[in-house]
Amino acid sequence: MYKKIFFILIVIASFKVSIAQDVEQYIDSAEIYYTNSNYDKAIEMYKKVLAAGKESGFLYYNLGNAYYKNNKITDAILNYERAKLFIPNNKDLLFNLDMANRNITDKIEAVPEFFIITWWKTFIGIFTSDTWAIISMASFVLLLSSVFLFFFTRTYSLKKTSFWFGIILLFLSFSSFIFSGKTKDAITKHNTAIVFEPVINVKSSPGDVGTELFVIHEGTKVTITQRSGDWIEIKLANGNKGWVKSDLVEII
Amino acid sequence: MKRIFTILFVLFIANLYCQNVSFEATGPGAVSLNDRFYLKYTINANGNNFIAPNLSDFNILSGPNQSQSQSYSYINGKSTRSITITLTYILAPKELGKFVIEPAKININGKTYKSNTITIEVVKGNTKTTSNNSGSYNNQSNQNNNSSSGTVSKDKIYVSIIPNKRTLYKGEQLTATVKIFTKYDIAGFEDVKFPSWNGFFTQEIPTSDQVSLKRENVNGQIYYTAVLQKMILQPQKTGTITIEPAKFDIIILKQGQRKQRRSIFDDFFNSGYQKYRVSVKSRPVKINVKALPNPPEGFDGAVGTFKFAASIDKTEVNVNDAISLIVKVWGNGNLKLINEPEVNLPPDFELFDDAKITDRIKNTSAGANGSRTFEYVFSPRHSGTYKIPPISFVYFDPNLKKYKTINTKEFLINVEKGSGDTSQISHIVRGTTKEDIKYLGKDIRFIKTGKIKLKDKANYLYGSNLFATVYLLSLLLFIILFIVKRKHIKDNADVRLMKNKKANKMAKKHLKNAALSLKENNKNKFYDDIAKALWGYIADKLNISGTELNKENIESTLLNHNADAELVKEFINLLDTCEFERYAPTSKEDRLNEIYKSAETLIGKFERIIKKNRS
Repeated sequence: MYKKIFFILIVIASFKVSIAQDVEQYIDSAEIYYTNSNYDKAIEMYKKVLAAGKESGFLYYNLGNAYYKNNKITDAILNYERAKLFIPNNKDLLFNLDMANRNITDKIEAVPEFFIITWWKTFIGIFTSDTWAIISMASFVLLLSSVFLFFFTRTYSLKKTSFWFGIILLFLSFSSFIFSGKTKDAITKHNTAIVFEPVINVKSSPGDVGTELFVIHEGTKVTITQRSGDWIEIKLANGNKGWVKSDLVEII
Repeated sequence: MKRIFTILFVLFIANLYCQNVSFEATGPGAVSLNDRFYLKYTINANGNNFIAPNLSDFNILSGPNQSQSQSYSYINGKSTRSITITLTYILAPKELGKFVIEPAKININGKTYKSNTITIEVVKGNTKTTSNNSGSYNNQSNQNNNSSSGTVSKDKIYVSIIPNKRTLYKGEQLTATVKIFTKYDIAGFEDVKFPSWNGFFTQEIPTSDQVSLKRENVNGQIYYTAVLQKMILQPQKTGTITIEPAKFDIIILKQGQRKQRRSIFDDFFNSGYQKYRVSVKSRPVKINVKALPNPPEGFDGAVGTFKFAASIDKTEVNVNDAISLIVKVWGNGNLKLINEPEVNLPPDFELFDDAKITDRIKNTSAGANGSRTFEYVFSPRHSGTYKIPPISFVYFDPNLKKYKTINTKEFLINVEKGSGDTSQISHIVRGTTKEDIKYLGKDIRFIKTGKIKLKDKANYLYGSNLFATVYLLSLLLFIILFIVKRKHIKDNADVRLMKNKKANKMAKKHLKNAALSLKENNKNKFYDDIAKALWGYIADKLNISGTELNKENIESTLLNHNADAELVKEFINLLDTCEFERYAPTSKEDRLNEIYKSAETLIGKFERIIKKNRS
C-alpha cells in the first residue's frame, strides 16, 4: 500500500519536473528562432509556454516582439499590454509598445493623468502582486512581534521603539496588502481590451439598433466598463463611451 | 571736341552701310554639255564698277541682267533698309572639263569686294534623256496609275549609305551618310525608313530640315543629290557589322507625252507632269570592326585623340570650405562614352555629390568634337596638408594604333583651422549625426533573453489559502502567546501576593520559635529565628528574591516605600545585632527580651507602613 502511494508520488513529481524542463526548452528555442528572424516559429514556441499554463511579463513582451516583427501589430499590442500588467515600469516594453502604437489608425489624445496618480501607479508597479503579498505577510508578523514586545517589555526605550515600529509596520502591512490586491485585480479582472476588427462602429446602446456614435480601428486600447450579454460598454482613453459586440475585441 | 564728334558720326554712318556686305556667286556644280545654266551674283548693298570674271570658257547667252529688291522696315522706332541686287548670266558650256570661274569684283563705298570662286564641271550630258523618254512611249497609255513604277529606271534614282571608313577599331568613330541620287524631280517622300544602325553607338549630325538638291557628277553622269541623314557611328562590338539598307518611297514627277493626250480634259487637268511612286532601297553596307589590342589597366573604352587636364579652384582653404576640382577631357572621339575618372580624395574629405558632368560636344562630319568636363565639389573636415594624387586617363588612339596615358599633376591642399564659425558648423554636423542615430533606432527593442521567471497562470499569493493562513496563523499564535504570557505574569503576581499575605504570619511563627528558644535559653537558635523572621518578612513583603537580598537593597527598597529613615536604621541595626550575637555572643539575658520586643514592634510598624503605602 505504502509502496504504491510512494510510486504515484514519484510519478507526479517527475511529471512536474518534465513540464518545467519542456517550458525552458521552448523559451530557449524561441530565443534562437527570434534571433534568426524565424518569427513564426518563435511565436509558436512562446504560445506553447502559455499553453503549458505559465506566464510572465517578459514572456508576453517577447511574444509581442515576435508578432511585431511578423508585422502583426494588433497581436503585438495585445501582448505588450498583457506584459505591461506584469512589468508596468519596464523601459524596453514601454518603448516597444509606443513603437507599435504608432502604426495604428486611431490617434486618441488621452486625458492627461494627474501626476500623483502616475507616481502612484509607478510605485505600485515596483513589485509584483506576490511580492507585495509577501511584504504584507512579513510586516504583519513583525507587527505582531512588536505589539508583543510593547506589552511585555519592562524597558522603557524598547517599549517606545516597538510602539513606533509597530505603527510603521501596521501601515506597511496594510498598504502592501492593498497593492497586492490592486496588482492582482489589474491582471485578473480583464477590464481592458484591444480592438481586433479593422473598423468598429461604436453604438450608443447594446444591440444593433443603437445610434452609431463613433468609429474605432484595429489596435486601439479600450477599457471595459459594463457588460450586457454579448455586448460590452467600452471607454476610450479620451473619455468617450459606447457599446460594441464583445467578440470584436480581445480582452487583455 | 567737335571734330571727334564728327568723326564718330561719320564712322557710324559708314558702319550702317558697310556692315555685313556680302557679295556671293552661285552656280551649279556640274552641268551637261548641252545644258544652259545660271550664274548669279548677289550683293546686299549698292555698288558700282562691277567687274565680271573671265567667262570665255562659256558662251554667254544673256546677261548680266540686273534685278533689285529693296525693303524698309520700321521696328520699335528703328528704321532699317535692306537692298538686294542680283546680276544674272545665262551661260552654256563650250566643251567638257572642269572650269574655274574667278571671283567677280565690285566697288561699294570706295571699297572693293570680291566674290567667291565657282567651279563648274561640264560632263557629257544626258543625251539619252530624250531617247529614254521615247523608249517608254509604249507604256504611256498605262501611266494613269501613279503607283506604277514600270517606266522609272532604277539607275536614275537610287539611295546609298556611304561610310567614310570600312575597317576600324571598336569604339573608333566613322561617319555614314545616307544620300539620294536622282535625275527626276522629287515631289516628296513617303514611308521613310532609315537604317537602324544596330551594333553602333550613334550620334546624328544635324542636317537642314529642308532637303536641298545639289547637282553632282557621278561617274560622268549628272545627278541631283541630297544628304538625307548623316550619322557618327561608334561600333560597340567586334567582327563584321552589316548596316541594314535604308528604304524610301519617293514620289517623283515625270514629264508625260503631251501629244498623246489631245483631249481637252487632259490638257486642262494635266500640267504635263505625272506623279509616280518609286520604292528605292540601298545596298547593305558591311563594316569590319577590329578588336582593340590588349587594354592596359585603367582603360575605360575611350577611343579617339584626346587631351586631358585637371584644375583646382583653390589650394589654401579653411576647414569646411568647398573646393571644386575640374577634370576636362577634350578632343575628337567617343566623348559621350567617357566615364568619370577615378579621383582618390583623402579620406577626411567629404565629397558632396557625384561629379557634375558638362558636355560641349559638336557632331561634325569629322566625328564628335568637343569636351566633357567633370566637376567634383568636396570639403575638408579637418585641418592639415592633404595631397590629391595625379588623376590618370587612358585612351586608344586609332591613328597611332596605340594606347596612351595622360596623368595630371598632383594637387597639394593646405587646410587651415578657420575662424569661429567652424565650431558652429561642427555643431550642425553633430546635430545631423544625432538625427541619424534617431533614424536608425526605428525598430523595437530586442527580446528579453536568458532565463525568464515563469509562474503558473491565475496563481496568486494574494487571496490564496496560504496568504490567509499566514495571517490567521500568525494572529492566532500571537493571541495564544499573549494569553499564556499574560497568565504567567498573573500567576507570578499571585505568588507574591500570597507571600505578602503570609509574611506577617511567617514572621510571627519565627518569633514564636524565637520565644521558645528564649525559654530554652538556646541563644544561638534565638538569634537565628529572629534573623529569619526579619529577613523573611522583608523579602516576602517587599518582593525581593533571595539573591538580591542584602542590607543595601533592603535599605533602598524600604526608603522607596516611604519608611522612616530612623526606623530603617533601627531595622538594619537589629539585623546587625542578630548577626553579631550569633557569631560572637555577649551572653546578656535581658538583651534577648529587648531584641525580641523590638523585632516584634518593628515588623508591626513596617506592616502598617507597607499597607498604607499600597492602599
